[in-house]
Amino acid sequence: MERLATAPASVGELAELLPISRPAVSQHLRVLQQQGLVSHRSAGTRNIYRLEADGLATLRHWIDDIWSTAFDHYVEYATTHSEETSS
Amino acid sequence: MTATSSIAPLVKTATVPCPPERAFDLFTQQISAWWPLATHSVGLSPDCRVEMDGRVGGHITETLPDGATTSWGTLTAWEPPSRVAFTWHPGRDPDEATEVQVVFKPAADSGTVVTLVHGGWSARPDGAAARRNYEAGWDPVLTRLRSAAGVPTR
Repeated sequence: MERLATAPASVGELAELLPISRPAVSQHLRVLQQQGLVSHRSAGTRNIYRLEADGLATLRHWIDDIWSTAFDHYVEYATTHSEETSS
Repeated sequence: MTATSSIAPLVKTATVPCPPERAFDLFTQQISAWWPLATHSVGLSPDCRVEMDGRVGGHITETLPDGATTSWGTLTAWEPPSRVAFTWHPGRDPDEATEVQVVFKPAADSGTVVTLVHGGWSARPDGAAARRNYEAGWDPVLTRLRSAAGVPTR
């Protein structure tokens, strides 16, 4: 996202900068797009991603949602595993 | 910096139906069992694992499906069964960490009130540069928020 803040970029351009594979970059970008943080357009065979200008408020909610989701998972797990002995 | 300190901590609280010892153990030693690894990890795979080394200075370590490891943060408090705190920087450098604290308090009927606070955005050391970038646009805000989020986006 730092890179996208500079200018729109293709998946390949982003993958070159990152220690993860191109499919992983695409997967991250799909998650970000589902959350409304980035958008993309097709240019030939390439997908060009850019930041969504009004995504900041969304991003703040998204951040809350991450720990909220994880915490909810924990509460659910603790509720269903409350009787088991510790491993 | 106002840009960072204006971001209020996230506070989550819930009551779980087991004593603090059990609640603490589940949170710290069985993270992989409940953490949504498929959507909230560096590897973005349910085949990732995450483990917490239960001591001050110990790491929270994600192991990717290919065996590579990455640290999510470092424990700054280890007080079973009442409190654990750690720095939080999945996918980021440690000096860009935010802070998470989880407190376990006994509740009625052998339950436990678990409170999680995620804050520390204002502790970021890159104030001047961040401010400069902030004025320039999205960059530092997104960087901080991404770091705070714990979901790597790079």
